[in-house]
This record gives sequence, structure tokens and C-alpha cells, in this order.
Amino acid sequence: MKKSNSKFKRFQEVLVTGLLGDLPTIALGPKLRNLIYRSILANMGKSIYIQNGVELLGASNIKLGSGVHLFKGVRMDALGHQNNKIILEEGVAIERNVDIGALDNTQIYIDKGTFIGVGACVAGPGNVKIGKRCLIAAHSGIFANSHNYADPLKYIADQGVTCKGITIEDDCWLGHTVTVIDGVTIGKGSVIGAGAVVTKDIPPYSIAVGTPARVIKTRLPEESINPTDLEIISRN
Amino acid sequence: MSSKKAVSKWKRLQETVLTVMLANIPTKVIGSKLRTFFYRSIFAGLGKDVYIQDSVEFINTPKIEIGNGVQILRGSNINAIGHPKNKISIGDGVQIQHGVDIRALNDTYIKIESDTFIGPYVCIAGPGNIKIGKGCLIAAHSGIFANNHNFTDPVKYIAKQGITRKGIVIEDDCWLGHGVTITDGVTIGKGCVIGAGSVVTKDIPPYSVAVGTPAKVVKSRIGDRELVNFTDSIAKKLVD
Repeated sequence: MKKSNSKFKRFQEVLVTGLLGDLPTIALGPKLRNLIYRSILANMGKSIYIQNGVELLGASNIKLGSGVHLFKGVRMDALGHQNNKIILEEGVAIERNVDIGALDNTQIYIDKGTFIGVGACVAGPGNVKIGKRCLIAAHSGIFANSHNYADPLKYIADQGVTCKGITIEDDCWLGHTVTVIDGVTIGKGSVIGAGAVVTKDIPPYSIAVGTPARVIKTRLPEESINPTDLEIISRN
Repeated sequence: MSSKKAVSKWKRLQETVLTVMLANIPTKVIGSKLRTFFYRSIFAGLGKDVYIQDSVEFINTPKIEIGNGVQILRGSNINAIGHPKNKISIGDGVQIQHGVDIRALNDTYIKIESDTFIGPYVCIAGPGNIKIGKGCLIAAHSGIFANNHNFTDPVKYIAKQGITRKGIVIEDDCWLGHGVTITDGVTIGKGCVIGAGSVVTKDIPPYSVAVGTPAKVVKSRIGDRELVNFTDSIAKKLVD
């Protein structure tokens, strides 16, 4: 029963996205998608802009907040497991050709006002959480999985993956082509230089660069700052 | 003033209708020929023998200039919207591979000179001005961003602290490897080679080989020879 229900949902999704997915703006595509995609998505806020050529797979597990922008060539894939979830909160902007894939029993959560640049990849199967107002530049990769390769006699592809999960806290800026490895937490307000590969946790308000990424500076002034001042940021 | 606005609105409508009607006609069905024929009326300039594959997106075409023999492959996006003074100029014989993203943003002039090659999925974005010289080779996944976020104030969101816009210059005959990043304010001298994955944060003198994050000069292509004499001898060779 459950299976036939999910099959019907998938059929509905293929039909709706197939019919409306490629309608350009001049043919009222974004308006129609804003109205009719409601029937296939888990949840959809107000005035969402979905450009033509956006691919949504497993739409019944995708939630879009008000004012979300999805540009041409974006692909969001929540297929693969019934518990998969992709949640974009209010005002998130996802640029062209970004690929967000949940894969297996994964929740990908992107909080309010975050920007994801051209051609970035975000993938499970570990959970990924990106905080408020983050700036993720083009070509960055956030992969909550690492291949195991302990056994030299087996194919690496056959040895499974880790899925510890990645957390990027509020107000972080990741430069062009930054890679974030599975299991990493990047603290609030951190800046990661272009081309860096983040393999370990980064404390809040750090500036980290290089491969592997090393903290070279803190954004906080030398005299200890009143912690309540920093709390203001989360209330804004 | 209002008539000026009406003209620009009319132009925008013309652009939208033409690009939507023609952008997706497959190249095999004389799509490229049709596109170059009709696009001529909406671009600032469009040279001879231009080849534009299907699903290439152009936005604000009256500010985009394309030279002779330019090739633009599938999925590229060239966007000059955002400011009336924006301009994107693509020189003769430039090759733009698939999925390339070029955007002016705000009061920006992006100039790509003749015979330069831009590899797949490269991103080039203002709002600082960008100039790429003649005969350059820019490999796949590189990013040339003439903007940097300010983040001096830890109690304000980085996204709200504004950006720099100093501009980027890449001189003639440079080769950028795969996944190279160029940050705002950098000038790369003539004939430089930048290794794959490098992040260029400072000016690079002409004929250098630079690698790493941040990119450091590891070699000179002309050894100890005086630069002036060397370029003179090259010029002589070219003339001969």
C-alpha cells in the first residue's frame, strides 16, 4: 500500500515537473510553478521563484520556505530513502547548476538567507546543516561522506562510506572551490579562503586557509569581547 | 526620461521574445545559423561566423558585444543586467566552452580579448572590471571574481558588510590550470602559467610560473634574462 502510494507520488511528480519544468518566464513559467509545484512538494512558502530547467526529484521530501530562489540547472535529489529531507528556509538563493543530493537517510537543512554560488555541490549521506546568511562561493563542495579504504584487496568503491555529517554555523563565508570533508563543524562567522580543504573543526570567527585548512587569524578583537555583543548577530 | 525607459523596456521585451524562441533550437537543425541571424538585431555587436549552441542564455543583450568567429557552447550564461553602464565584450575567435558563467553585476566592464579559450564551467563575475588578454587559456572550473567580502566587524553579518571591487587584469598569453581562483585586485603579467588549484591573491610578474595556495612564483619562464630585451626579441621573431 505504502509502496503504491509512493509510486503514485513519483508519477505525479514526473508529470508536473515534466509539463511545467521548462516553461520560460515569458510563458509565466515561474508563476505556474509557484502555484502547481505546491501539489508535489512537502511544503512551499510564498512567492518562490523557480526558473526553467530546475530539476526536483523526490519532491514530496523537499520543503521550500518563502522567497526561495532556484536558478536554471539546479538539481535537488531527495530520492533514495523515505527519511530523506531537503529543507530550504526563507530567502535562500541557489545559483545555476548547483547540485544538492540527499542520497540515503539524510537531512539537508539550509537556514534563512543563505546564498549558494554557481556549480556548488552539497551531498549526503551524512546530514548537512548550513546556518543563516552564509555565503558559499562557486564550485564549492560540501560532502558528508568519505570513502573507506582500509582493505587494499577490495575495490575502494566496495568498502562503504562514512556519514558523520557536516555543520556550517551562521554567517560563514566559504571562498571559491572550498571543499568541506565529512565530520567537520565550521563555527559561526568563520571565513574560509578560496581553494581551502577543511578537514577539521574550525572555531567560531576564525579565518582559515590552505590545504588542509589552518586557522591563521581570528576576526575577534584581541581584548575579550562581551559575548552578549556576539549574540546580537543571531537576533538580527 | 520616461521615453528612455520605454525604449529600454521595449528592447528587453524584444530580447526576451527572440532568445526564448531561438535559444533551444538544436544546433543540428540550423539553430546556430538562425540564432546568429536574428540575434544581430538585439546585441551591441555580433561579428561574422559566430557559432552559438543551444541553451546558451544571454541577458541584457544591448550591452553585450561579440566579435568574429566566437564559439559559445551549450549551457553558458552571459549576463550584463544590473546597471545601465554594464558592458561585456568578447573578442574575435574567443572560445567559450559549456556551462561558463559570465556576469557583470554592477557598473562593470568585462573584456575578453581575441583568441582566448575559456574552459567548461568557468565563472567570471564583477562587480570590479575584468580584462583578460589575447590568446589566454583558462582551464575548467576556474573562478575569476572581482569582488571580496568585507568582514572586519564580527558583530554584523558578513553578507551585510559590502564588498571590494578593485578589478582583475590577466595579460596576454597566460595559462591558468584547472580550478584556479583569482581574487579581487590581482594583475597577472603577460605569459604567466598558474598551476592547477592555485589561489592567486597577489600580482604575478610577467612570464612567471606560480603555484599553490596562496600562489607563489616558483620559476620564471625567461630565467635571468632582462624582461625588456626578451620581449623585444619575441616581438622581432613575430615580425619575421
